[in-house]
Amino acid sequence: MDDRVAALTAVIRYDSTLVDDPARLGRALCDVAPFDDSLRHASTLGASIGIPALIAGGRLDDAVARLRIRGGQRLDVALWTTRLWCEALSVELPFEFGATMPPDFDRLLPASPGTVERPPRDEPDSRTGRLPASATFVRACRLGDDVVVAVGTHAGLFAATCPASYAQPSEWVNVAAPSSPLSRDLVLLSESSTIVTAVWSSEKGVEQCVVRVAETGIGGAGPSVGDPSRLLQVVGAEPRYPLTASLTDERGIVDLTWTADRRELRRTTVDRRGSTSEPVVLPAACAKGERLIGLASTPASPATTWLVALTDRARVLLASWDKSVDQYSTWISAAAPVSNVVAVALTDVAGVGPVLFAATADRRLLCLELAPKLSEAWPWRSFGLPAGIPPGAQCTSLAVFPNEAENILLLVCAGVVWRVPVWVNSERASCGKASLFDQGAPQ
Amino acid sequence: MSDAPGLGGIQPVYLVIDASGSTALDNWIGRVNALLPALVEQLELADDRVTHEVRLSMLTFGTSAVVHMPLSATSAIEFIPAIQSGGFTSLSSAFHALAATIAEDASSLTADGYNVVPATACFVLQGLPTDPPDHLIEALAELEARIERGSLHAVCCAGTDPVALRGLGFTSPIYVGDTIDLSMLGASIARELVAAPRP
Repeated sequence: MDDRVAALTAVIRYDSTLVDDPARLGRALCDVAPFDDSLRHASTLGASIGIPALIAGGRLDDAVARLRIRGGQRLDVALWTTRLWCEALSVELPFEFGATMPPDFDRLLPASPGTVERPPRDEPDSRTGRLPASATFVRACRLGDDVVVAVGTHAGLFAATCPASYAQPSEWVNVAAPSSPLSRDLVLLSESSTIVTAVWSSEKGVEQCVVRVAETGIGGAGPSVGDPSRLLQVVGAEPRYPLTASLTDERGIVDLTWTADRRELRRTTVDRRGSTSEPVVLPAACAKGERLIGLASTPASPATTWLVALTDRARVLLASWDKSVDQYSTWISAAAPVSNVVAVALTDVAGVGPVLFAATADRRLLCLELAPKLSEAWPWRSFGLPAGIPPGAQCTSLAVFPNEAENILLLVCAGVVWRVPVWVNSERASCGKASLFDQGAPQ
Repeated sequence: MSDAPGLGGIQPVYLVIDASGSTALDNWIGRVNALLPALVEQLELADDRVTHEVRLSMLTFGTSAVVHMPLSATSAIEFIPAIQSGGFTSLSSAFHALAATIAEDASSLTADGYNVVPATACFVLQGLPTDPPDHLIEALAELEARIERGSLHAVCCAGTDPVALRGLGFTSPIYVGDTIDLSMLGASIARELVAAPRP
């Protein structure tokens, strides 16, 4: 045990951010103790399911339970792994450690998209407007001087509004409660300076509703959510995640790019009268066994649109859609300099053009300016690690919206939304300190 | 560096070898040590086919990078010091060290009156690096100011993520399986490093 603690300690001293990046941690341990597979497996498993953060917070019994339930470890191995991390992180072990197991294992069950059915519909706490559950994804869209923010949780889809320069949202309002909400996605479309349309996938197809900013009874403002209506009916399949949508012109034609199996992407065009086109199957993005986890689009020109897909192998794929001839390019991998990208978002940055933002599981932020034509050169730039987010809080989602001279990134880290200002121009890419956005979200 | 200025100039070739602790696995470092004489021999043969003179330098890296062998004419290399493994896989250290070495060598050669052909480099990697991504991006940018895009080659362990390698600036990596013919591998690397004669 001593040699193994020494090895893990040496790795953490070399670079403390390794605890947030299991793949890199595994490589570092391979350098320090190349022949110790047990140490590497136990440590990377622990890092991948957030054990260091639990231990740093003194929640040792939760750590053991999580190793057993999410890591599949036997009790004795889970105790061993917890003890290893405690000693490496210099956290004192209580005398009674490991004597009893926490009673509520259900609370620690993993939430994997597509496997969790909707629990009884939760409403936000009416006294505080707090989210009833941890966020899994975040979306954002400017609405005049405000921003509409939507999050997905296991309890459904929720929206809040907020002045674009502020980090304190209004009360959260339930937008929809589709079945299997963790397997759905939501997109916010800017219709005008007073209306945003929320579009989401559900067991009914693709649905939509209008979101406005309205005054609340106590003099504040919050979202006013219209009645939902079905935008697209899909027979024999359910749209899942990811989903993207764009308004093609002033007549309100919506182009939906959706998937029922997270592998094959289809586009359906819907006009305001509800007429839908035949679905167009996009060029294949996924390799064998690969699944999509993210999708985004933004106009490249009046006639072309950028599409970005992110896969569960952390591949960032780019394609362009020439609307004038309705032709898609093949997907090209924008070789990211990291192997743990978990979220992407697109926006048009003033003075720069379309920019792809990406976040890694260990909260590092990157960006890539999209040149008018696809090429083999990918000039990724790094914002580094925004200060203020606790170590061990793994990032799962990213949204972006413009705010005067800066852009605001919203990150979901460990179920909580964080707001990070970033600045991008031809000379530099930098980020400010992160601040907590959804103060009410429970940890 | 006492030769008279060459007619076709000097092409610096850099071999940057991962000597991190993980290279002890499967005797990777032993196989690399065995490969080096074959590679130098192939570079010497390649040198005969081009009008410029090929000179080879070797760097190794673990937690930090060092120049293992200074820039030398391939025909003058009689002894290659064996490489020992140890330390983390800090590719950013290797990028920084290579950028500095290329600049220093080019400066010396130019001062001696040589025409310096753009450098090429081959990284021999056992796996992906342990550096934080922003360190890698910064170091790669520094290196790309010293070496042409497309001139960074990699020889790596079978199974190394090709997308990550491309993101790190490497083109067309050569993958090495469990069994390798050292002479053929040396010839492949030499072909990548010493291309057609440049003006």
